Amino acid sequence: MSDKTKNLLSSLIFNVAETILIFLMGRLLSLPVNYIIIIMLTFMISRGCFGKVLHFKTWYRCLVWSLLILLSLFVLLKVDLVVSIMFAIFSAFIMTGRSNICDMYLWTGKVSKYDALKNFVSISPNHPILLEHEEYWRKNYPMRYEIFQLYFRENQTYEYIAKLKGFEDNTVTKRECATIYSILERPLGLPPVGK
Amino acid sequence: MLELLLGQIPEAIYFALFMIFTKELKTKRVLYIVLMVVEYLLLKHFIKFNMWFQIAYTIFQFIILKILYKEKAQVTDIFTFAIASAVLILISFVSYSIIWATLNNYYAAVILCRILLFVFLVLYHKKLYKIQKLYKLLWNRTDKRPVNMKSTTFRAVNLVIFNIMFYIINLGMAFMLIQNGGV
Repeated sequence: MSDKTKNLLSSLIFNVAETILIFLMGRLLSLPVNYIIIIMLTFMISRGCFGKVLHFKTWYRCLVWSLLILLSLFVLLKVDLVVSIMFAIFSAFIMTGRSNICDMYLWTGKVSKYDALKNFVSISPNHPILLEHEEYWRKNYPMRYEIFQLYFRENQTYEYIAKLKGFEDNTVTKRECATIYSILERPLGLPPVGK
Repeated sequence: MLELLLGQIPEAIYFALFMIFTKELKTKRVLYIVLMVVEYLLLKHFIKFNMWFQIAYTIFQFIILKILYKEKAQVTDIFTFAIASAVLILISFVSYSIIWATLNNYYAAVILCRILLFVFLVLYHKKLYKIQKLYKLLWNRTDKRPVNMKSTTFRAVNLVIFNIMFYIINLGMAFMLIQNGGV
């Protein structure tokens, strides 16, 4: 079994287990099954629709916080279904990059100059062009492959990658990210990287 | 009239001042306070005192902020407003507990609550800007500086507290209505 299949399988198992746990939590609060499903679907679909979904870096954080967010929505469901739906949409919006704050003095509104590719990867993780390049890098440029995985797929920071890989600074990571972007820019129709 | 002077107007002024101090707003302060009071009174007139009232109040206060201060208004202001509500809930709880243990008079509890609200603002008005600073530091995901709490976790913490708080507000409002027609 290849690494990719293993990753896909484990993430599938995790997501199914997480969904079941959330559902059971709703049942523990004695909520009607259809209401629980409505809230879960509203949250998941809205999050997908807003785009730029933010992911937790570890599975246990994802599990704990997803459970708590949905629990808080289920508590609101005790009051009113419409209120709970509204809060589910708002919660979904907050858990995406769309709710980033743009402060004119402290924040440029741009997380990374490679945002376009990061967003592309999060929306279409199994795009054939991405998979094809990944496979090629895995065989011929293992370092590039690893940096792609860490930076673009897992949204890790330069500092984290440097620490993990034992780099002295971020030069290697930055250079590889620039190369990856320039390689994928045209085939994926990404905008030119900002200076 | 008593309801207006004791309950609604001071509460609206408290919310407006809390936002002014937190966001360090320097211009259009009086207009902002007036609009917040008018919004509160209008909503109170048209909507029953329940969770829908609090939701509408939160949405409209953000709209006012956005109209008056444009790009200075951010989505995090909704959470700042929620913090102001949390302080109000806490102070109300303390006031009612004190008065019930001593005088057992509802109006005395309301007056004490309003006094404590403004004492809080006087004591902490120079520190409230730290809330905004914290949001600016932790809200967006960035590679530029190391932070103890990840952006995603910070947002999740805010959301959980925000959602639960509205449930508590709903209970509190129901309690207030039972006590005295919503002063």
